[in-house]
Amino acid sequence: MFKSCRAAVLFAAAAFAGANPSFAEEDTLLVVQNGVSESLKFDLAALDALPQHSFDTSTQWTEGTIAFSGPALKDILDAAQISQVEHPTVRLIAANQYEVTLEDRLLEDDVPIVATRLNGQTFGVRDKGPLWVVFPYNLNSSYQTEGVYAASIWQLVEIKIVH
Amino acid sequence: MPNFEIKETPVPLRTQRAVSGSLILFILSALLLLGVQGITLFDRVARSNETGLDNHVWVFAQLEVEAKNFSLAMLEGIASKPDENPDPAQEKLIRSTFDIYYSRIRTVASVAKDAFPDADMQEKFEELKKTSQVLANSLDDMERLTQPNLQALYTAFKADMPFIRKVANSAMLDSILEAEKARETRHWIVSRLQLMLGVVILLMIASVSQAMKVSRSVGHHAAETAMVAARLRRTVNASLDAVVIVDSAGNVVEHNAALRNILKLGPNENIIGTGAFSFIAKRDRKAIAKLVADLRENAPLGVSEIGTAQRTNTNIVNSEGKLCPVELSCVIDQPTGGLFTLIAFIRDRSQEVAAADVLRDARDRAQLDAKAKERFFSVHSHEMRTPLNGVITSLELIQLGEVKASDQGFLLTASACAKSALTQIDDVLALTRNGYLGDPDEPFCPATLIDEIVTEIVPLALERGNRVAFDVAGDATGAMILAKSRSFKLTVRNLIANAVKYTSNGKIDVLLDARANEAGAIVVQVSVKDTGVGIGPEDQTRIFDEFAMVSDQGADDRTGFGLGLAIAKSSVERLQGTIDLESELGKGSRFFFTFEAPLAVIASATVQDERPSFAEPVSTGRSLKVLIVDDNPVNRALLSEMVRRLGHNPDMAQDGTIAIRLACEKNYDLILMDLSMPGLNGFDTALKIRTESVNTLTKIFALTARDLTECAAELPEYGFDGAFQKPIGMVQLRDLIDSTAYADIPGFAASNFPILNSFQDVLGLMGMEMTRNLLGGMVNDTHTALKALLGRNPDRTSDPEVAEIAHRAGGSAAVLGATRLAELWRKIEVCVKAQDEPALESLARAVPKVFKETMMALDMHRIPDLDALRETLQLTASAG
Repeated sequence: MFKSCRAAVLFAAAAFAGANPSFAEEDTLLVVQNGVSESLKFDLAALDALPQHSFDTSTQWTEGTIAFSGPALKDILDAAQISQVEHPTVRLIAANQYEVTLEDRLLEDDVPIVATRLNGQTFGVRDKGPLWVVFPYNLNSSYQTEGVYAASIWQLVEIKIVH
Repeated sequence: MPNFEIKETPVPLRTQRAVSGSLILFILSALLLLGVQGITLFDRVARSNETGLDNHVWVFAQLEVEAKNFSLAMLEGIASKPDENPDPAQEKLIRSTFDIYYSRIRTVASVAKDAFPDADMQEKFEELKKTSQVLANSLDDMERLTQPNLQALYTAFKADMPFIRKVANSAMLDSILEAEKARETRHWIVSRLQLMLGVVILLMIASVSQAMKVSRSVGHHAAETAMVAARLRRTVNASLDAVVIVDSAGNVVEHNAALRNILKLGPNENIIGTGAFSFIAKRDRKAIAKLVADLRENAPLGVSEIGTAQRTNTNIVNSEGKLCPVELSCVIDQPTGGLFTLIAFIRDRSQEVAAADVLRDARDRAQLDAKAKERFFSVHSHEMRTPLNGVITSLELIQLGEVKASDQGFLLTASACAKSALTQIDDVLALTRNGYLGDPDEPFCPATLIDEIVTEIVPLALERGNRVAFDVAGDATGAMILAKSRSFKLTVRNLIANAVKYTSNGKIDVLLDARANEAGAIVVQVSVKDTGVGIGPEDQTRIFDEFAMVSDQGADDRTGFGLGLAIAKSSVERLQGTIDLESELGKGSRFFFTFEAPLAVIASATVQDERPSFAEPVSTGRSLKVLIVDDNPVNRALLSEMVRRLGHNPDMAQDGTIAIRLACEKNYDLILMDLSMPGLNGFDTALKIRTESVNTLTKIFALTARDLTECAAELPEYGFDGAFQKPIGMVQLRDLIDSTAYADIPGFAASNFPILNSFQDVLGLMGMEMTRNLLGGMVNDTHTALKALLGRNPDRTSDPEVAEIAHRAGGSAAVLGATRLAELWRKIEVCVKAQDEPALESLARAVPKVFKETMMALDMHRIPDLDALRETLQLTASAG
């Protein structure tokens, strides 16, 4: 019940975002293409409008513990109406064209998140921003596998949903 | 309960346990070691994973890619429009690729910091970070990226490229090496794990085999325990004794089949759970309750150990309500306080008790039989005695002188045989009664008695060509001892007779050894040694048994039933002595017996009974009136004749009634009464005479063939003065009559004084010649005194001369130990002085009689020419 309600909200938000791109082209942070409908574009505000998640963890690519926060990847995909696609495959693409296919089993309701902020601050390309797919690595060992590390793509710019 | 035979297992249990125990310990410690190793290994695996080194090569490779991208973007900006500033899109691309490169450097530096701890690599990355920061700063300073700026930027970056490439390459190489090392580690871990797995498998195999062994052993033990339990159960069930197990509440928990039999339970009756006490007879319950309480008190507490068994005889009540005697044996098992188990073994004693009853009955019957046998012998001896008495007395009465000289020998032999037969009967009776009529302790001199017996037996010995010699040894051969004289006589007589019987043309030595011991008693040993046939060792032990004779007889003339030695043995036993023999077959035997007796306080050796001739009536001066009461005409006639020959007047009565009638008419001096008579018996007749006739004070003596000890107690009640065992001899009868006659003389009863006293000592001291002279003097004095007494003047009031002569006669008699004669003279002396004429008359009559007694007693001592001396007095008496 709650889930469907939440999906409806997300859908409404996405429809709103898709129908009325109220932000400049250069403010676009993320483009989501589902191959069926028009691609969905998110700026920071749009991402902030989604339910926010946060956790503290260290990563092997950074030093010290960092508080990551941002919307769940699942919510973004739902907003892009991933359910409309048969046998969807999610491909995450970085600014340097690094591309990785997300395994289904890694996609949970609130993990990974698409972090928009490190320690409460937005972050730039030089700091692997502005969007970084992160998992709570320290939470348990299931987030310390090569698959998880590979999916932890930074400088995320595009998501393609293909079948 | 039988012991169980438990089969020995090949390996002792204890050793087996020790072996499996150490094996289990080994397995456990090995597993512990493996566990520690495993934890270390897993720790290493975890640590090797922690770094996530697998994608580092890619991370470092990407560094050069990002650097190239940046460089390419700059070159495009320069090459497409070399003279113009790059367009905004191109500028944006250049700036973007730089940012990416910049972020890559920091990422790579961060990764390298974890991956390569070595300072050299750290320094290189720090250098890279620095140069990229310089670049970033100059780029940030540029508002707009102009062509010259771009070219300068490119030139500067191009200069950095080889270093970037070098750092990336060396990082990659290190990564590869690290990966290789990690692989090796993993390989080592895997091989280690394989090894551990192998060990684990081995341990598992060992554990499984051990477990199987243990389970087999447990199974074996369980089977063995079950087997022992089954065997125990079978044994208990097979037990003939009933076994009951009772709990602390007193209820039967278990029992075996035998109990069913004892309790006579039906096949469907079940007593499990019922109270065990209800089966015990009511009167025994208290005792059994006490027994159980005792058991509980003494049982070892708290240990499952069986205490001592308690055993008792009791009675149980079976299901039919009948009592059954049983032996009950209980043990208690009291493992915990309060609760206990009682195990009772019950043995049926009914058969045993029945057998005991049978035995008791048999014993009672046997006792009755013995009594009957005794009665039989008593009657039998009575029946045989009466005719024998007739024979003996008749023979005594036959006047030898009137018999042909050739027949005199036969007469003597007949007399000896008759007496021997009587002795035999007496012996049988004595032996059968195993006690013997009265044989009180009395004073006697062993030497004298043996001498008498030897004298008696010499003629018999001579017939077989045997010489008999008597000798003495020791310091007390003449002593008077206090002992059972008849037993002593019987023993000596039988031993000598036995020696004579089994010896021909040999020698029999009789030796008396009498010595005083420390306690003052006399130890007497008599040995009889012969040169006869001897006794083999196989016969020596049974020779004292009744009717036993040595097996090899060889001669028919040895008559008898073999009672002699048995009588000797029982007589020695009565003397509380011991008898034994030494013998060698063909060489002879030596029998000897020993006993101990106290010294007699009053020395008295009475020698009586010596073959006097009663062919003529003996004159005693005064004739007594004697009444003879006997239903047997032979006895009556014999007794009557004997009384007559003794110089008295007999009257006869054939039954009690006649006797009473006569006693009412006439005053008798003596009544001789047979006890067993038809009609009025001797007892009642005597009582009537005592109470109803004129003879209330007359002496009444019983004459009976019955056992005197049987009736001695009741005799005085009926007024008897004494009793004699039949047959009564002349001597006994004479003494009896004399004692009656002396009863008239005040202060003198012949029986109070022995005829001879210590004559043996006189003989020993004086020697035969001197004694003979003394004897001659005594005879002369007696002769003179009697003459003076009879010839005194009765008118003289006192006759001192006569008194003096009487006194001298008494003295010479006293010297020789003729006590009775000496006392008689003493009385006469007193009476002469007192002028007691009536007393003197009867005393004077007694003198020849006492003198004759004395001479006969002296005759035993074989004084030469005694007859000549005797003649002297007889002459005097006849003259008087």
